[in-house]
Amino acid sequence: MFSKQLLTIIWILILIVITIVILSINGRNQHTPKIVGGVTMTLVAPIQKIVTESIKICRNIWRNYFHLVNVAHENEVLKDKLSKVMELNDRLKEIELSNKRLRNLLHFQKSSSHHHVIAAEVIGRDPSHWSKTMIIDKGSQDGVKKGFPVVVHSGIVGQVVFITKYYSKVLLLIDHNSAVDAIVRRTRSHGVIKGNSEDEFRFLYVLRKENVKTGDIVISSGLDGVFPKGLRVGTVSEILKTNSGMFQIISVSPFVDYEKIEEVLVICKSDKPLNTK
Amino acid sequence: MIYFFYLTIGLCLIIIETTIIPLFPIFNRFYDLLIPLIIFLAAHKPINNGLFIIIGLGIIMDILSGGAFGIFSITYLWLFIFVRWITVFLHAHSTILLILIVAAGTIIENLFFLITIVINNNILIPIDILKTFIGNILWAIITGPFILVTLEIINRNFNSQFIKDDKIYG
Repeated sequence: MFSKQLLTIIWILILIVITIVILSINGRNQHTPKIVGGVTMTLVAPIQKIVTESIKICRNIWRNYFHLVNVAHENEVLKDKLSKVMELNDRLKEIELSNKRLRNLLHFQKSSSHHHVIAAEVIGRDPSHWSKTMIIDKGSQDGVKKGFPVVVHSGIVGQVVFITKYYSKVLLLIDHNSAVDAIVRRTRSHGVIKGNSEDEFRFLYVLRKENVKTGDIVISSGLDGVFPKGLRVGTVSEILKTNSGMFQIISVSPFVDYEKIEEVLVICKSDKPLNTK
Repeated sequence: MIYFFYLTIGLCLIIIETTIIPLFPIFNRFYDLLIPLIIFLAAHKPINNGLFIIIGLGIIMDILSGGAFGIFSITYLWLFIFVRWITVFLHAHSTILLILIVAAGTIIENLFFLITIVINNNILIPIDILKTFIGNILWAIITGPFILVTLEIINRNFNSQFIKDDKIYG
């Protein structure tokens, strides 16, 4: 009834329509099918973990036996201590600024800063350059839930977007689909950090009148309900004020080196609302 | 048996590009390692064999990636169609095809991603993406032919060991 050529054309047209529909729908709503995703990740992630662990062992052998043994170990210990001290310093600065701003409000409430954290190792990365994700070796069995923030000592890494029983996928903050509500620490100027590339974020919706300077530190505001307040994001690297428009165009360099992350901390948020009367 | 064999090869390539390649900064803009495999399957295997394998691998890539779900599967499908069409005009073993086909496949994949991102996120194209484009293409031109030839050797050894009757297309 239909020639082979006509059938081929019809199939091609159907495929074009399917392509447009799928990419339009899924491009806007990043959704991973639970069952297929769970099975796939359960099959692939253990292999990734084995390969990653093997590479780590080889790297440790190289570091510990071909370099100076004590120097390498001492360096790791000192780096760890320095990261913890930097984090503590940041928190203290934030507490100091908060105390300075105390007002006699009608309803002044404290928020809990004590979050349970889960340490996880990075076992795999996104196969594509167009999106930025990583696979970690902790899942629902360890208490990880979708939406939990992921950090390192130097700052925000991203957010858990998909979980299986033993593994999770983290969307990095440098991904163009990522965003975090943020403020400039010095001026408390408010905006939204959006992922742009490996080297920088875009800090959007910062009003022109705000006195932001290069070198200012940007931290999370806590207003998005995802990332706790006070987590480091980056430093302002470039500011552009156009002649028109309400907002400045600001670039922020991240604190975190996303290429070299090996271990992360998943912050387990409580289900209870923070502000209860 | 043949499905399992090529799925295993695909899985190995996925593991390499998700765990080993990210460790080396020099491979920062390396292309998708599954593209040579897709091209090989399209040029040398019957439709019923190649199609299911590439869709399976596409789904695995979609799960592991943070991009829109289905983008890898759709891209591989179009790449499969493109290669089958082009092998009508050019011999599957021609030198020109070997050198350029992986680069062409990389361009097709990157275009799919670019269009999806620009349309859905309404953003301008940052310069970083152009660098990624060029890096991908250069790596594809340099390493693509070698990967294709390696796959052919593996296929030949596999056929001589396990398959008595094998139809070679192209």
